[in-house]
Amino acid sequence: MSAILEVRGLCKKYPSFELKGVDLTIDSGYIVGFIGRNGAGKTTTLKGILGLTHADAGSVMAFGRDFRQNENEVKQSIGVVFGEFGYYPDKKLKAITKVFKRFYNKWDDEAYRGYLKKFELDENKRVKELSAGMKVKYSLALALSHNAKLLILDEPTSGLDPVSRDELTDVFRSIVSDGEHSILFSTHITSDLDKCADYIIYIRSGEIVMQGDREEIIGSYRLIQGGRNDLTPQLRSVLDGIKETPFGFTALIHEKDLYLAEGLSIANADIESIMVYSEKLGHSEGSEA
Amino acid sequence: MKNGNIMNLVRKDLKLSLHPATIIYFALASMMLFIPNYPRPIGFLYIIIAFMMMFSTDLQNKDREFTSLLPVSKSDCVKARVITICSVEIAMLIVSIPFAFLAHRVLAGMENVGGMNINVTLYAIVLLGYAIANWIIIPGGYRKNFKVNLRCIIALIVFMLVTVSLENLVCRPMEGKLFLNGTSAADIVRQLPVLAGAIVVYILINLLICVISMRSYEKAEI
Repeated sequence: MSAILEVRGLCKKYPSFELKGVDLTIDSGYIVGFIGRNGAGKTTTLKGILGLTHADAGSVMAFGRDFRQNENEVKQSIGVVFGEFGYYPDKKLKAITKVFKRFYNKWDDEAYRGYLKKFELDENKRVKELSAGMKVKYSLALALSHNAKLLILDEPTSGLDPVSRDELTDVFRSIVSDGEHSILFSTHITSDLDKCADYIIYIRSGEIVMQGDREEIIGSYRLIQGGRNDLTPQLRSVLDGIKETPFGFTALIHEKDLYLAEGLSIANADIESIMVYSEKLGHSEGSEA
Repeated sequence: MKNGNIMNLVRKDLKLSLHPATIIYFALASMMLFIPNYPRPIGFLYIIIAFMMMFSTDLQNKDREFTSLLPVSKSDCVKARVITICSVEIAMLIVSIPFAFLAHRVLAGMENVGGMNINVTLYAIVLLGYAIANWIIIPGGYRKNFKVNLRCIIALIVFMLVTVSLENLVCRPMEGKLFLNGTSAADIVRQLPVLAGAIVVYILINLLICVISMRSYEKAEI
């Protein structure tokens, strides 16, 4: 594996929010899910990586080169999709493409035609006439036709119906299947990542709190359920997030601490439950602080 | 590739940002030369509305966001925008020249009680007006809280005040300066240095606009 994007110590301070030394690595040929609740810092991180905001500290290396020093060259190999394609709503796709393709040295018209066909996009349509899913597909067609090796997608599936989301996750998988493309995919719809992500990076309150192989992360947690009396102080101290009701509790627990949950109902965790329970832990830690 | 990028950005501005109605304002400048007894620079004012629409639709089209993702530098974006605006202004002036000759013939013998004659001085005055209007509009476009409509209205008013004031000065019989409102071949030749001076001022102000706008845009966050 070779890293095509390495972010080290990315910091950005706003009056009401702070990005605290974000480190992340994207290797070639993988889909990396970048998760976190709304306002956790996903878009701020992506904007910081792309230089759209001025980071207070940190470095970004892309394809082995310093992003800031080689911004134009590096951007030739990066495709970015911020949500759906919301630019120039009154313009026809072919007019936008005609302008867009001139900026890229490796624009491949044949590939572009192929993606239009694959995504069933009509170039004579105006942007405003496309559905949300088609707008994302148009963004992808543009990004892939200039031979972008790294796709940075910010909430590409937000606002899409489940069928369109499923179609897109299939598209993402087919994009990385050649081993040359990678996708950094920010979302708070974690079920999409269950379908396609290889790695997960989890950001909470501007800080990366978890990153690694998706299956390993999922495999290292369990959901446990029990009555109020089962919640001993010792058990409580190892839980990674807990939901209490008048009758009992459900909680996230690390696999290594499972021996403390003997006799309780145990279920596999998924990305969503890990995120939801971890947010509760973060919240309670924040409250204690 | 750097110059190629600027030209590609100019093409983007012309194809995606420039409002289709610009052609109407473009034509208006030439057509209004035929109106008798009219302040001549006013016909050239309307193109500023096209620039107002350009900046305004840029906000709706998220042009800044789109452009920021392209492999181009912020300074190239600014240069391209200044080049686009100046190109439209200069093209409009050039296109109006044959109409100016025609209007001069059509209106021959009619004194323009509304202002100055159609001559080279008129073009010098309009260029100065455009330089000031650009100064008011363009740098604001790269600052936070750009109030495009307000800036353009101010630019329109200032353009009108400056050009009409200069026009009045030209029309006022001043000793040794009567040639400024003349239309004879000899007067036109004497007006050429005035035009050359206006061109120099126009270029210098637009270069300054570029520098100021680039500084603002480099600081901007998208």
